[in-house]
Amino acid sequence: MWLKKKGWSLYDHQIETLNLIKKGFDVILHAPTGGGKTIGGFMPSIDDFVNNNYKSQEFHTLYISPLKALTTDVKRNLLNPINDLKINIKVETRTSDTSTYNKAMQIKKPPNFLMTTPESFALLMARTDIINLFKNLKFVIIDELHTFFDSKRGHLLSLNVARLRSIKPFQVIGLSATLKNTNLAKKYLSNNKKTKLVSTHSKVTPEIAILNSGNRIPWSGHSPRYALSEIYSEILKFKSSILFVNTRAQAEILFESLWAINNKNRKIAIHHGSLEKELRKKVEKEIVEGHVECVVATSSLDLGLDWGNIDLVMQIGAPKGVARLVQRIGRANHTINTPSRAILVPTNCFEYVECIAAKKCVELNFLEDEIYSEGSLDVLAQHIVGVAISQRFKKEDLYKQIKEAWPYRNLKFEDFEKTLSFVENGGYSLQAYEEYSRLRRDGEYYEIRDKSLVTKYKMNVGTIVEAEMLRLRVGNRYLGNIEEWFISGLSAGDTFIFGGKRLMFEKVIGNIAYAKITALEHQKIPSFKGGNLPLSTHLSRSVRKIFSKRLDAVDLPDSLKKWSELQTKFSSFPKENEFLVETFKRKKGKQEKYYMAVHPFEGRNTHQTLGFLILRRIKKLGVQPFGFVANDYSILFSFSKEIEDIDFLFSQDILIEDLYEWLEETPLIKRLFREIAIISGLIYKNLPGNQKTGKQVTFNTDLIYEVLRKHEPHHILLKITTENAKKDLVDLDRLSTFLFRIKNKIKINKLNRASALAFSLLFEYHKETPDKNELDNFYLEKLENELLEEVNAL
Amino acid sequence: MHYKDVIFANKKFSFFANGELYWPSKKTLIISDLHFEKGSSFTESNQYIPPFDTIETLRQLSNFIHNHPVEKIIFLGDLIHDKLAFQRMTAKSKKLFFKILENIDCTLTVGNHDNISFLKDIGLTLTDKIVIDGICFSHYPSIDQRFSVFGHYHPKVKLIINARGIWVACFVLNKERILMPSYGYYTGGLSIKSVQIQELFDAQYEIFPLAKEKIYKLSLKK
Repeated sequence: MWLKKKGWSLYDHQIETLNLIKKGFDVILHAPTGGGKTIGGFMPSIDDFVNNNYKSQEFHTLYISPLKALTTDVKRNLLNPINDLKINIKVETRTSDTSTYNKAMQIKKPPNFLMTTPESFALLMARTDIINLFKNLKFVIIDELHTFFDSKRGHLLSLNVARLRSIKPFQVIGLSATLKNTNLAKKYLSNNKKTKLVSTHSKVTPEIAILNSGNRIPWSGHSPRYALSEIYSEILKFKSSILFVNTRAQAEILFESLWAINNKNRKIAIHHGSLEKELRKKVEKEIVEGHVECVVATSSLDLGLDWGNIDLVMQIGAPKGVARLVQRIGRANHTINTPSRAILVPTNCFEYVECIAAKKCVELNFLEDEIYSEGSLDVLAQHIVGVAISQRFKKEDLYKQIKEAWPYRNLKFEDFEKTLSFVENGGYSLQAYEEYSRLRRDGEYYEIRDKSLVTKYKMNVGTIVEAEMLRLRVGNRYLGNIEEWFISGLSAGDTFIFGGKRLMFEKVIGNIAYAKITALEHQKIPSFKGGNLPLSTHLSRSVRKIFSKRLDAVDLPDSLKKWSELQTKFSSFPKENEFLVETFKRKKGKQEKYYMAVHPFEGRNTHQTLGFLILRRIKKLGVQPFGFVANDYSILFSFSKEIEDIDFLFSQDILIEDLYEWLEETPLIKRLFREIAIISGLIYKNLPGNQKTGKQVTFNTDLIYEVLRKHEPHHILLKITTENAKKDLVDLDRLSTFLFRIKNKIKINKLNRASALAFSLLFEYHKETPDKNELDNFYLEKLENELLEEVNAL
Repeated sequence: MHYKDVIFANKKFSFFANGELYWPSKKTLIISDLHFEKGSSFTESNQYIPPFDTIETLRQLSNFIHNHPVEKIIFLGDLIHDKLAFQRMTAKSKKLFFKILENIDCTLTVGNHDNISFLKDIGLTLTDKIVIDGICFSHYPSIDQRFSVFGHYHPKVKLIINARGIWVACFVLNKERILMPSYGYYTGGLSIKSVQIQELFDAQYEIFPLAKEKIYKLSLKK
């Protein structure tokens, strides 16, 4: 066999994959990072090539990855064995970075292996010549498979894979390093029983430590400042390191603080998704080449690129999820037999406990179940346009084909018809737009009315809708994208930091924000939306468990012991399955405020929703609420007088009823509607001609949402919005599970002062009151000391 | 409906929160830039925006007429978004609009979107401008007149609420000029800080932002 001739040392899982494919199965290859997973995925393709001695210029294998950068990386890694074997396989990438010329050449003389993304794949599938193009396709490889189960990108991909299957049968190989629910993976991949799993585990568990700081860990806030010098000395110990943070704002702050103490002149860089592509690429290249010794990064570096040379991963702030932490830790030491090394740096006491929980889960390899979602209809609408551009179709045939895509297996014919009618001309019962339809009917067939649709589809394909962004320009360079709402809150002369640079805002022209470098102290940090991932259900359960044991069992640093003692002395820790409610009042001047702190540990999203609902309840009791704040662990309410009936506030059935009422009113739903309007093609973000002027068509989708609700309440887009909102906005399942869990288990502690647990939110509550002077850390320390004194005086 | 009274050219006027300018002593209503069928005009680029903007605009207008004595309406231009607007208008919208034209004396000071050949013979008086008691009403600013009321620019202003900017439509007023907000449901806007508007309102002026069915007043000085 060709493999043995070369004297390669092969992993068992690679050979097993090859054998299963030869028997005709689809395969999921689940192996840790650095375990030869990618080569394993391509083994069947190379083998088939060698054995059959193909020469023709035809697509043979399609590789699809969620990351553009991965396509290039995998191509490079693949060329080594191919050149070794001296076989003539043409390998190319096709992404939005590929030039129009190269794309055209790939159609004329197709490469054998094509590396692409879900979006570029969708565009390829919209061609009229796909039957001919793919007539000899043998394999489709989907990398980072787990990223597709619960995303609209995954829906889009599944639709196109199903369609390609109906045109030309092929075998699929799914690759993933973190998989818990392998059954789900099998279903997503091929929706049939012919899928086999090849799984191999790393023989070593990662070495995780929680940073042991000599300084007191703050009770609240999200700043690693207390441990900054210790973080820095860890960086100095290792040749190369990644410092992961949870939000882009944290990345900016940490990056700046590190440079302020960087007396050893370490080469420290910053990497996040809002930075200009070229800047990001430069940093990535410098990491690979070893020119950058430390990079502060957000989830923009979670996935992908194989860098064998990272010695240390630090997680600054709460890990939020076990799988996510494993993924991040995996960035260090990309070889299978040496342990990855990671240090966790909690930024407050709660996060310390979360770090303990996460560390334990990783060591026991106790990961979250992957979440999957039902195929979203906005994605379906986009897909139908793509199909129509490619080939004319019959309604029933298309419906059957779509149901072959696993996320759409439950699609009702009625919803399909509504979506199709929306694609045709908006789907309004008014039938106003019939004569301007996108699609035309020819007997039983649907086809596009004219070719102008093709360009619009091509310019707008994809499922990732970012918030309204402005490009940030400094001098004659673009630094990246910054959120419109952040800029809209600035006046000329305001200073902020971005990409590690201190900037002064000047003006906005079109969709470009102009700023210049300044030496002035910064005041504002763009706090990008979407950076705040909620605590996973799984991890939250582990955290609750640790708290229920009163923290005695765990080895804690002194400052945490103090925190824990205070909580036990003046209140209590919630027992497992107990729901802790603390009430207390505080005087500010002459005014007395009543507070209620609750500790569900269910993650920020659930808490936000719950917060709004409870607020409505409080009003119904005739008490004037002042507001609430929520974090991943707790919610703090404040109001004008004492509440007697706390059980009433949390009664399950009424809350769910309220939820629907609230959902229709929240501004969050309008943001969601905008995303759906864009993905579904109700409005196009990009139109031919607009790119030159830099003007985007930004139709006010809030107006559309309101007018639709009024005139056409059963419109399919509103239905999609509600469905999406139930899942993404409020996580309805999690909320009702929680309410069910706490039924009859509410424990009320009436206190004289804020407990240690409540304290963290008390700070955030004051932070969110719009007094600017209270915003800095100085205020935090002052408030903490005040409280400590209050306690010590007793 | 929420409103604010202002004195302009020694006469009393009211700015209403939906963008109506009302002249009580003349029982005259002035509205600007209705852009009928702007929504359906997007079909040209295959965008099927909900086609309810015209009916929304007309209902708002009917509602005003129902609640205030109105003997004359001046449309300050850009009544229709494009020449085929009437063709695309629904029967319901047409009925409502023609009912208003039948009962009330309506004048249109023609704007850049108005295609005259499609607006003739429907009961509208068409003109470039109309002068009443020394006040000139027109689509564009009449800079040669002492007092000018005009539209065209769709003025909007950024209000900063909780450190976030939101854009709302507004009236702009100084001693000689009133710039009207656009009345159409889907119409966008131009910042009052833009050169075009600033040229027209040098020195001291006031803006009246329209937000959530209320109207506010801000005085600005250069």
